Amino acid sequence: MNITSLFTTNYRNIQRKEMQFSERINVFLGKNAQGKTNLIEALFLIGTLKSIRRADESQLIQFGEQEAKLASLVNKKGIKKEIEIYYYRDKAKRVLVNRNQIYKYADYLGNLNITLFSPDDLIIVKGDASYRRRYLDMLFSQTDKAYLLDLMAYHRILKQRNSVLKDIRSKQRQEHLLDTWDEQICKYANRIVQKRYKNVKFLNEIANKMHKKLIFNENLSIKYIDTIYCGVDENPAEYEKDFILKQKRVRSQEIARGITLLGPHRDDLEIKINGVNTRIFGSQGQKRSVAISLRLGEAEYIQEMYDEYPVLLLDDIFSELDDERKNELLQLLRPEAQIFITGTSLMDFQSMLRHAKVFKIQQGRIEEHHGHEKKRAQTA
Amino acid sequence: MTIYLGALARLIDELGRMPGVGPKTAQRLAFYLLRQERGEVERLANTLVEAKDRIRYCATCFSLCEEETCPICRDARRDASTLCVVEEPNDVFVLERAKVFRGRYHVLMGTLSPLDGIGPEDLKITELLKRLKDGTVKEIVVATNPDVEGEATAIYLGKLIKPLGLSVTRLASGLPAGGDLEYADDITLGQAMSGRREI
Ligand SMILES: Nc1ncnc2c1ncn2[C@@H]1O[C@H](COP(=O)(O)OP(=O)(O)OP(=O)(O)O)[C@@H](O)[C@H]1O
Ligand SMILES: [Mg+2]
Ligand SMILES: [Zn+2]
Repeated sequence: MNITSLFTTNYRNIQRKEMQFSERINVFLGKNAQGKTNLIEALFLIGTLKSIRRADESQLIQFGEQEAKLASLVNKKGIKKEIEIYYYRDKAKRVLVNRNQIYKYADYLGNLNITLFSPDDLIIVKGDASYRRRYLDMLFSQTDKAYLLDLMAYHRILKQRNSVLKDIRSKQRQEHLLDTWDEQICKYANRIVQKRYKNVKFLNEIANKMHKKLIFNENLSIKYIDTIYCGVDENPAEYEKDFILKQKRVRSQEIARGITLLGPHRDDLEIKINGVNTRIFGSQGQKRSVAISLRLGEAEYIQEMYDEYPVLLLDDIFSELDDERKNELLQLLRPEAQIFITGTSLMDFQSMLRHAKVFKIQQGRIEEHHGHEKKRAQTA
Repeated sequence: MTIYLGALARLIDELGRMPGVGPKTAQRLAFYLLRQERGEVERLANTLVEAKDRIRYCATCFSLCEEETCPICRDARRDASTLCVVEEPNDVFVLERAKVFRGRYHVLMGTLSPLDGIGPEDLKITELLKRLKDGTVKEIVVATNPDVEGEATAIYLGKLIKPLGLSVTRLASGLPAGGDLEYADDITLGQAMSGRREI
């Protein structure tokens, strides 16, 4: 899987320029605040339609302009797709694949699989449970459309149910109206939780395998914690039944607070190194390497599900690693992977330049850099 | 948007209020209308008013008709023992076009949606229960959309009607998840009707 080209118009600070990428390594080189992350974000948008900055979409449009366009050719198992995304200030974006407009998010996913490594990943390990759920959900949705649809339905039911809870609290509705929503939330919660149990188990194996290669004496484990068993004596086969039982017990509490207390929207991942909780006890360096292992695991997971390795976006991660880990990491990325990597100095990339195309970015202006090729030609 | 003045601005504004019509489409429609002969526009205006005056909701099933009750409710050949419950009047036309259902209909005029403040009392549920009183109806087919609100409404109706001793089935969703009934083609609808299941 790879991205053949990118062409942007009025996108962030990037100036119009058709970029043809290498199927192997592409380096975005430039000083701070020149537009490197903006380019990484553009590729991420092509893959997921989501901004890596959780930005409002109108922020993607260049200051002073009314609309922006991203266009890209992607190649998946030899099938070429032309992707175009238009962003407007005053209306919803338009997405086209091979000139056909796409109306539903679920119909778009799967065109291009992407794994992004970024310093912000630290928050998956350090932050609250919502970041870990987001990590799981983004990954499982990328590889399983039914999971995405269930998740969307679940959140809709959740909103409806919370609204009933509040209405009951304010005595505007009777309690029996909760029954139909209870029945639905239970069905969808079960479907989501079953998949999370199964997928996390698999993810745990591969993330640990990658982590051991990254840091040889550390054992990484990730465990799914749901709100019914809370990590003790889990019995996924009985989840639906136990959900109903526990839901009855917390009903008065739910009404008093006006929110739904049980279900996958409050679940978590427990991350441990050698049996010790990383979020609580891990060092800064450990947290950083766990974040990387989770992303490596993600890439391997996608490989397993699609039989194709995702495109890797590596934003700024070299600045955080010492030379030894840098090399370890590069060894762990599959040799056939297409990689986009940002950096401020060519020195950081010496070992990979032979296969790389280098793009210099200065205040949004992109120029292909041919320095190393010339040098090679001279010495040849 | 203030570059248009007077009657033109009002026309664009009115057209833009219709569902699915954005500012650009409203402008296009307005200019299209202005290009037409006066007679053409007059005919359109009259058609709008006539439709509004003549079309009303059937007093029994709440689908659209021009009499007190609709042709389906009056048609003695329709199977009076099965009732298909749908969300909107248009769903009746969709099912009729597919020619898969021989009973009669009941339009709820919406679905349960607490978020929008819509509860059972806002739907034609009391009217539905009243229709069930005389014992003619033996089976209810709930054909609300297969989305979250449609499902919730179906579950609610099941809990309400089953204790009355009637059979309540759900239109099996061979329909696309999250897709509107309107877009389902006739073939999928045929399958859905024959594959209905108990709720
Ligand atoms: N919508 C926009 N229009 C114009 N410029 C923008 C827009 N959004 C962001 N920028 C500019 O892009 C620049 C940031 O670019 P980016 O984050 O890609 O930098 P970077 O090269 O990754 O830097 P660093 O090395 O510090 O991470 C900022 O100067 C910002 O003002
Ligand atoms: Mg950056
Ligand atoms: Zn009628």
